[in-house]
Formats: sequence, structure tokens, C-alpha cells
Amino acid sequence: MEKDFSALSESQWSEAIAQGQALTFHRDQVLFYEGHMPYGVFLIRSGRVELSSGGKICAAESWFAPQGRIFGISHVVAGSPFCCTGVAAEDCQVIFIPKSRLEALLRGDAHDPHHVEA
Amino acid sequence: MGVLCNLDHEALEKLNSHKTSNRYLKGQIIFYEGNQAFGLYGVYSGRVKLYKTGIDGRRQIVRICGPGDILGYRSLFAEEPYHATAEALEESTICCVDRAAFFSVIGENPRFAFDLLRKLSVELRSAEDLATSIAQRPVRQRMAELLVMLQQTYGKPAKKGVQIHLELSREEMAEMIGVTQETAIRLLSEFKKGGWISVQERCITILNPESLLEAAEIE
Repeated sequence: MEKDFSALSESQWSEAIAQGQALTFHRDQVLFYEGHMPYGVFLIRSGRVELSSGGKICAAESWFAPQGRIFGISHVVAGSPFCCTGVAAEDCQVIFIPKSRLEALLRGDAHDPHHVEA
Repeated sequence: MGVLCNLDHEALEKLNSHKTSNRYLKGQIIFYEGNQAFGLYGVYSGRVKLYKTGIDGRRQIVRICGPGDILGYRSLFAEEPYHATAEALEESTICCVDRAAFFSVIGENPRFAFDLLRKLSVELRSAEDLATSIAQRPVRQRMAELLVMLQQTYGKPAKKGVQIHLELSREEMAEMIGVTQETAIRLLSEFKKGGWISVQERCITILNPESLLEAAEIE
């Protein structure tokens, strides 16, 4: 499937975020590693994330959704590994949106595949 | 891979299509204690330690996982945050299966659900044993028991004795039995002096398993 997440509307993003998972990364904890295939994308709600590649600070591309800065989307789109490592420079509040959720939204499937009826 | 072995082709295909594999270097973190679980992790190769961190910052290793083991499923079932941090003990290939695919496969394969239930039960018993051991057994017994367990799980016959093929630091050994690093070093030194083990940096060889077994007082 051709992925184009820029086609997602603001309301679709809001939906994805509502169905995403709120994660907390404390200072020095790693959000993602250089060379790893992404499991999804990270929307940074608060805090700073430092990016480094080969041990050097780098200014990697990130993408801005209406709700904030997002890491990993270009790699999810391209099916490529992260080009840098992201480390929390301070406590960060993050929304993690699994790859499958974004793809489901692109297909127009509003149902959250992660929601399991008890 | 462990409980996944009994799955039929169709179910495995389903998991495969929702799987992402990554190679973790020694020390890299797979997930952090306290964060929400979003997938099931499987160890394809290498070793992973699962540890909890106490309020004083002290770590307690609760489990070491190897090829075929799965991680994170208890948190997925319970819809709870991860109860421990998973860190690669050595270079490891780990795959992550999407939560939705995992639950879908469980729903379609009662046998798989039963196998997971059995695995959960075994892990619960191990956790209870560990808690009892730490609460009630003297540190010397705990170290002897750890060495016996490591020998049985990771031991390979060497020229002299059985060599443990799992590199653990003294700190990690201490974290496995709930003692300080200094205590772990002292105990290993005692066992070495007694001729029960030989130690070369991180490589431990069991020379006298009978004495260790006796010291461990395992029934």
C-alpha cells in the first residue's frame, strides 16, 4: 500500500492521537535507535528529544502534525530504518502511534485495531 | 519459537505480516518499565534481561530471556504498563508483533491461548520462588542456587568442568539474587577459594557442581 501520511487530515490526526498510547520517557531514556525499523511514530507533547547519529548530534528531519512534532513518520512511509537515535534530554511526554493504526486511518478505517473488548 | 511453535501456517503468516524485526546491541533497551505495552516482543537470537528498578534505584533482575522466549505479553493481557525494563544482555534480534495481530491470533487459536496460559503459570511460579528465595534464603544459598541454575540453563562441558555460556557482570549477578555487588563478589570469591568454580573475568566455570547443589539446598 502506498503510504502518504501528509494526506491525513487534522481530525484524522486527532483520532490517531486519541487512540495512541501515552508514554513517558525519563531523561536519558531512548525513544528509538539509529538503524532500527520503526514500530510506529512518536508525537512529542512535552520535553526535548536529542537526536544523534554515530555519536554526533544531528538535526534529523522531523515532521509537524497539527498537534506537534512527530518523529519516525518519514521512515514509516519509506519503510526505512531510523537515521538517528532519539534520547529524552529531559522528561518527555510522548504519544506513540503504532504503524498499523496510521495505516488503518489511511484506509479510512476508524476502528481502533488495538482496542480489545473485555 | 517457544509457544509460537504450535501455531499453524496461517496464524504464523498473520503474525509475520505484522512483525517488525530489529537488532539490538548489548545494553540497548527494548522497552521501559512503566510504559504502556503496544506489542508482543519475541527473542529470535541473543539474550535479554528483564529488571525492575526499586525506589532506591536498585535493580532486581526478574528474568533472563533467550531465543524462543516472548516478552511483554503479560502487560498486554492485563492492559497494564510494562512491569519491568527489557535490555539486551548481548547482541540480540528481537521482533515486535502488533498488539491487534497478537490478540486476533489468540482469538482464532485456543491452543495458543492455552500455551500462553501455561507459560504465564510457569513464570508466576518462578516469580513466587524468587520472592520467597530473596525473603527467606541466606545469600550464600541464593548465589549457589543461581550458579546451579546458570549451569543447567547455559552450561556447556569444558576441558575442566562446565562453562557457563552467558556473560553476566558481578552487578547483574547481584541483581538476580537481590544482594549488593560487594556481597556477590565476596560469595564468588568464597566459592572460587573452595575450588567449586573458576572465574576468568566474566566467564565462570563450574568445577564442583555437587558442592554447589549442596550449598544451594535445593530440594
